[in-house]
Amino acid sequence: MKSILFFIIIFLSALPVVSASEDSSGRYEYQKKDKAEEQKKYIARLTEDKRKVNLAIQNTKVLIDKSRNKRYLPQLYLRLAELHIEKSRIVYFLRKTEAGRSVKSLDQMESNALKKQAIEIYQRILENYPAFDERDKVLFFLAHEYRELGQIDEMIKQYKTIIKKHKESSYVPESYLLLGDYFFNMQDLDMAQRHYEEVLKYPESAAVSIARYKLAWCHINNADFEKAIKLFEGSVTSVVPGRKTDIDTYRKVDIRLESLVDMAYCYGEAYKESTPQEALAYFQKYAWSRPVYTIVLEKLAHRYLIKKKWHHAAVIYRELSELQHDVEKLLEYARNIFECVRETENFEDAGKDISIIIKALRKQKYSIHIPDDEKEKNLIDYELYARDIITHLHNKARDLKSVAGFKRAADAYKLYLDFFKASPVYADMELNYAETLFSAKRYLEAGKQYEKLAARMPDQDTKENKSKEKILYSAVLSYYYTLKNKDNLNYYQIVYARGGLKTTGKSFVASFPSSDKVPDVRFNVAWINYDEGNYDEAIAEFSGFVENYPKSKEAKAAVHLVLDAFYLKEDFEGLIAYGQKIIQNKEIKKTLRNEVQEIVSAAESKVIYSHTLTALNDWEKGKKELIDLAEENSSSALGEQALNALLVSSKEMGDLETLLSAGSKLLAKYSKSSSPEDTLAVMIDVSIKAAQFRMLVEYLEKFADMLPDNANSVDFLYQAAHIRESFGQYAYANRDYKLLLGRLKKNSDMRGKIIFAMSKNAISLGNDDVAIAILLDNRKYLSSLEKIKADAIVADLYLQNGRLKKALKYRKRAYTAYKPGFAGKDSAINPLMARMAYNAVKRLSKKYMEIQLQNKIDNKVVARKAKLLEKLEKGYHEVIQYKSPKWALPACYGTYEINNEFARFLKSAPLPKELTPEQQEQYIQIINRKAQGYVAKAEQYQQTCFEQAHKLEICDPELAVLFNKAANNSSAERYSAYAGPVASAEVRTSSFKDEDLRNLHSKLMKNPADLESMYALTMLYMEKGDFRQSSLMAQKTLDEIKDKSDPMAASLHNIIGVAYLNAGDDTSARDEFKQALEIDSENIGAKINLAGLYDYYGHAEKAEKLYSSLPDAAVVDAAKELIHKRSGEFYYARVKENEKENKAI
Amino acid sequence: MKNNLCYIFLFFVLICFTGYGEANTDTDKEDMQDNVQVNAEKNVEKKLTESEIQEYFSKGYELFEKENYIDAAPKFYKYMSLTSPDETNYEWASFFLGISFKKSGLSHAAVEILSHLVIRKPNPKIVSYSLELLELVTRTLPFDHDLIINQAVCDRQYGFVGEKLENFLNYYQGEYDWEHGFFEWGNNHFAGIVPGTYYYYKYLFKKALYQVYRDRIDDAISILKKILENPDIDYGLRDNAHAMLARLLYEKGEFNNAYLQYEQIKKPILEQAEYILERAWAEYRQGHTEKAMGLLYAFSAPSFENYFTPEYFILKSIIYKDVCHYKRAMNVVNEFKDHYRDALDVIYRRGAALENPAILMLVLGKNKINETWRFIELLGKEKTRISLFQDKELVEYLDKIYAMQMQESVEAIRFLIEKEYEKYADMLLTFEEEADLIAYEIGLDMYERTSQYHYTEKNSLGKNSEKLQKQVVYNFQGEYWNDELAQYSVSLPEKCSSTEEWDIFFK
Repeated sequence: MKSILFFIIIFLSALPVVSASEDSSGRYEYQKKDKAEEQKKYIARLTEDKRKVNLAIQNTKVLIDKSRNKRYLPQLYLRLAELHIEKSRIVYFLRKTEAGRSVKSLDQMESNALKKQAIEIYQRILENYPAFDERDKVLFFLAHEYRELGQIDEMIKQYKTIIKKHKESSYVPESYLLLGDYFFNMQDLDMAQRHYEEVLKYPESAAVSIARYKLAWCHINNADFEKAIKLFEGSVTSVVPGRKTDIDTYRKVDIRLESLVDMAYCYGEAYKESTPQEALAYFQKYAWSRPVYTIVLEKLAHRYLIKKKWHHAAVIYRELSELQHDVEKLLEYARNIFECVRETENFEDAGKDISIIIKALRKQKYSIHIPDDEKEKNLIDYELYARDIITHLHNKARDLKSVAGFKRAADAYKLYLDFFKASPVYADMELNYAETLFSAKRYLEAGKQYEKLAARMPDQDTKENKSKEKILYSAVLSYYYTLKNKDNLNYYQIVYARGGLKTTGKSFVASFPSSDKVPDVRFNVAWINYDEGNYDEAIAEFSGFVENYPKSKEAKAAVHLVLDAFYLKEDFEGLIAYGQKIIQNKEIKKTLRNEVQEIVSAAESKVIYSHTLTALNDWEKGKKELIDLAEENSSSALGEQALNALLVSSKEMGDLETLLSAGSKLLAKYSKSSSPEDTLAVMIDVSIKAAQFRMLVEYLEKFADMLPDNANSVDFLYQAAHIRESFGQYAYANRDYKLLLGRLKKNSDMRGKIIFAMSKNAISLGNDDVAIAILLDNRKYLSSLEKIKADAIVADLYLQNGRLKKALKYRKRAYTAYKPGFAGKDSAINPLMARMAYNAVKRLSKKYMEIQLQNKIDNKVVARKAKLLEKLEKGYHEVIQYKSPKWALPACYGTYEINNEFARFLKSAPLPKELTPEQQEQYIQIINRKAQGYVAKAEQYQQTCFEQAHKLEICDPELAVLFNKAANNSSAERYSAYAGPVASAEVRTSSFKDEDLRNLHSKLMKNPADLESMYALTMLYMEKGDFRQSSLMAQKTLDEIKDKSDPMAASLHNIIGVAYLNAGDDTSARDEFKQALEIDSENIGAKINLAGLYDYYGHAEKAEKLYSSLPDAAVVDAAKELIHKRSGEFYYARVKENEKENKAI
Repeated sequence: MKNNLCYIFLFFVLICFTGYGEANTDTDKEDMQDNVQVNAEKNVEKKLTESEIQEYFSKGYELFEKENYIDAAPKFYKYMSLTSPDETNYEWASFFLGISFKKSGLSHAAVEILSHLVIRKPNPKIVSYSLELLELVTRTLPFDHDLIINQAVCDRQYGFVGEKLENFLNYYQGEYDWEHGFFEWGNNHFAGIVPGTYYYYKYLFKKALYQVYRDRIDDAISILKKILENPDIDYGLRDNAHAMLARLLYEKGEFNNAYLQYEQIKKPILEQAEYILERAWAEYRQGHTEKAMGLLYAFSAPSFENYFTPEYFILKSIIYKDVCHYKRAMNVVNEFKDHYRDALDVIYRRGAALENPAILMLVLGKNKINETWRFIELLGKEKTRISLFQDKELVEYLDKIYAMQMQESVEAIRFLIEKEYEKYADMLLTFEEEADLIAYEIGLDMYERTSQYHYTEKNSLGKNSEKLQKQVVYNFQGEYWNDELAQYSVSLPEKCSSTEEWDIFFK
């Protein structure tokens, strides 16, 4: 490593060196010095000076001599005196230099003699020149020289003379000042004070500031510090820079600085109550620069220290420590601060104090100018100071349980540990630091410190290990508390605390697995993973926790956090799987398991929601996902929800096949676990929209079956039964009706309708007994009118089945109860009464027909037959009275038959043997006449029957026999239905595999009002042979068409008609065709179909009329699909015949 | 390359000097004791006469005059070690030794000697000469701020030392006073600086900073403008004034004026990483997204590797997002994560600052740390020159000076780095959070934009898009010429009115 560093340094050293300006050494004005030579030169210079002064003295004297009586003579004397004084000074220094030591009295003789000469000259001036305007100056100089010579009284005398006789002189204040100094030195403070105060009367004098200063000291000596400091203040503020006194004593004295410094001396006394901060502000105000401020603060601090004002001293030293950088001074300040703090035991500023100590020591450490032994000694001493402060601080915080105290202690420990790395108690201090941080609630730092300590401790199972457990746990706890209050943390601190908690937590669990704190730690480690978004790890940790501590109080939170982690990952399948595990875990509290169940259910919805969204965006993909999900979870609620979603989304997407599949599975698998109402509602809704009636009927029935109590189930069953009837599925219809009866209220209006429908269906199925039972069993629920109808039906059925007595019984009931007016109330009553009556009469007519004469006339037989004829006629008349065309026509025909029979009976009667031939002839004529009356009557009825049949355009195979017989005397007993037996296909849901059907149904499902699709579907079903479905579809389409004159309506009626043909209901077919032609007279299908029907049932004219109105065969061919097969046959047969005729012509 | 080397050097310096004092204390102590002992023994062995001692000074001075500083220095050092400070020539010897060190490329040793000398207030000539050299060092080299400014300049009061030095002393003393709340005394010092001089403009700059501190922005701006009125001021100061003025104008919302100030900064483009980013912001705030992006492209140059901050990525992605280049915006977010993946890993696993070069390089850009770092580099460089001296004692003395200073500076920089590391790590995590937020917002914008698009007339969109495409001035070519770095224009057509591939997803 060092070699690399060396390389780098070598590399860097190759870079050009930045040099300072190229100063030449020659510019430095250094000259070599030789002490002896220097002294020699100095003596020579003084000697030269002395020579020059002597010359000046001589010249001055000469000048004086030449200037006798001149006005300026005193000036020359004054100059001479000054030259003597100058010479005295030179002589003094010459003597001193030559001697190489301090001057002795002998050496001063020449100097003093010269001074005395000067004094004499001054005195001469004073004596001889009283008018000399500079006498005050002479006196002042004279006093000065007296003082130099130690003649103090003379000096005083001269100063007093100046004061007394030269009041306006500028030397007066200075004289007062010097007199003051004299008294001051004599300790005559009163006199001194009085003289200094006189100076103050001359504010323009430079002596004033000195006087103030001196005066202040007088007050100090009198212990009047307040007055003293005021004077010092004045002295500091009144000094005018550049204005100096002409007094040797004060020439080199900076009186302003002296005043300021001496203010520090008396500040503590003058301002006893002031705080140290006030003191600092005070001196900052008076100081004119930072160095001056520093000087005065040093004095002040020292003064406080002497006065044992520890707190004040400490504050000032702290301020000084901020201002100073000199290491020695810093060490001194630090030591003094320690002394103050130790005395006061005030550790409020311990942090600052420790930092001052360390600042000093750090400067010392890196100073090249301080000897190492001194450094080492200081280091030891100051380490103890610092430790002492911190220990006191820590103890005080402990005693007071003060968070603020712990904070201060922690700061102090930090400073200590950062610097005193070689401290003998370093490890203890580190631990203390951690503890103070924790107690100060600085948890992040505490965590870091504990973690650092724990990392250094061995893992072995030792006594120390126990403390490692504590320390490591403290680290965990510290990080935990850090994260408890995240709002105050920045991102980095959060990341750090999370990492710390995880690392220390895992380490704790690994090192101390048997600790009772392990569950807590594990939980929190897991929580931290959760907190920082490491959900996989959080899930693993929390899951492990729950497995190990399923009954712990944290288990609930752990479970919830696992579920939440899954949720945040949007891994709902994982959530569900985990939730299921928890639900099945009996060790976990039931309340929690219930909560989990709810969450799991919600998650399942989410899963489904997500897949549903996918499905809506990408149907094939999403559909597959939902199907897979349903299959994979076929035994859970998720599977059910998946199918539900599949159902709903397939409806949305118009995917009928999937919808049906999903719906079926859902109903099959989950009919018990959840309400199938919604599913069925969807299926029913879709079936209706898609117009799939076979499917619809199944779901309606299923609905009624699965939800018997649902309010809709009655209606649904009723509709189902109806549809079943439409499909000719009478047994199913009756099953539905039966169920319906069981659910209806006893007084429901529907009962009658249902009972009759059921009986009708039973009859259609050939189950007459069943029909009878239905009617009789439910008779009590019927109204009186309905009872008549029921009796009529029952009577008729009994009759049909040969149970005549019972038939009679019910017939009688019916007859008894019936009143003609009832037909207005219920149109169905008369046809039933008519049928009952007709069949009863018809049955009797058989007997009638059987009554025949044998070989002889038997009057009884004839009478019996005649009577029966009468009865039958009456019976048929009664039938006709019911005005039901269906039965009136056969009744009419029956009347024809019986009269015709009677005529035949009469005619065929054997001649009485006892009659003569004439009598016989006469007899025959009479009989014939008689018979002719019956024939005529019969013919009248036959004609009426024929005419009515054509008028009514009868297309009923049963009736057709009658009127055709009547018309043609045909012997045919039965007429088959027009279409003959036609097998109707049943296109059920499986047919959705047919693409055309599926597409059309799907289209309809999306847009149920799409008439074109409905029409196309109608046609398609017809094509597929499901006529009944086709018919229902056509009916539905007709319902949707608003414009009833739309040609499409005509086509639909035609289709319905065709369906009727195939169902054998030719009458209804006829009506539909007619309706079609009413709407669209040019509807080819309806025309041909109706024409065929007419043709078949013998309404030839009407058929011909229709045929003749048809367009060309080619046009007809185009409408082929709308033409029933049989009708086509009729049509094409006629076309051929016409062609033949045309050829023949 | 230079940055990598810088990091390696920093890494080794910090590692090697960590605990240097502690680890070597005993050894040093022993060495020192040995030296003391050896010197004592030598003195005992051979007592030199006064003239022999003086001869060292004379010889040293003779060599000094011949500008043979390498040989002169040991003589002065020897003379000083044999005499006491009250010796007549001691101060001169000390002074000449300092000058010899400076002339030999050992500026720090010179500062160490001369600072200590002026503190003792020798004769005025020496004080003046020493202060002149110290002043020169402060202007031209990294230096020990505590030694020169705090101790030599600010702790003392000097008499008349000539106008140039007066300016120097007044400036730093004034600055110190201001920084410590002594505004009146500071003002007195500043008032003593002769207008029009280097220190006068330096003072004006400081004054502008102070006005900013007092939230008197307009005053600060007028001061800075006054500084910039003088065409002859020091180029470094001029650049700083432009930069500060630009930032103040930016804060006032005068983005264009701010941009013009940034443009006038003359320092080499490679040293302008932060300004380029700020210029990009200024352009962006004016709605000049293409210009802003052009400036950001400058950062793509290899020369800027490690210089740019995470903010670069954020701004880039915001710009892309604003003009609906969502894919690119997302790419920038990913680029940010790729670039700082290692750095973030270190943060997440709570690694030390030294393990995180990406952040360390950013931290080194911080003024105070950068100054200290440059000083450490200087110490390393100068230390290699000690071997130029042949005198063992002098070499030991110099080694000690440099080792101690290196240790002190390394400790200081370690402290500063650790303090700043957390800030930068937090900043990076904050940016990571912002990047995630931007990614989220990009997703949101994409969705909203698509939704708007599908309800807007297609024709009008087409026209807008075409119009904006035509505004492109110059297509970036992917070249990196340093002098052009800040001049790139890039094509950044606004795509909010056109569809992109991702739209299909939303359809």
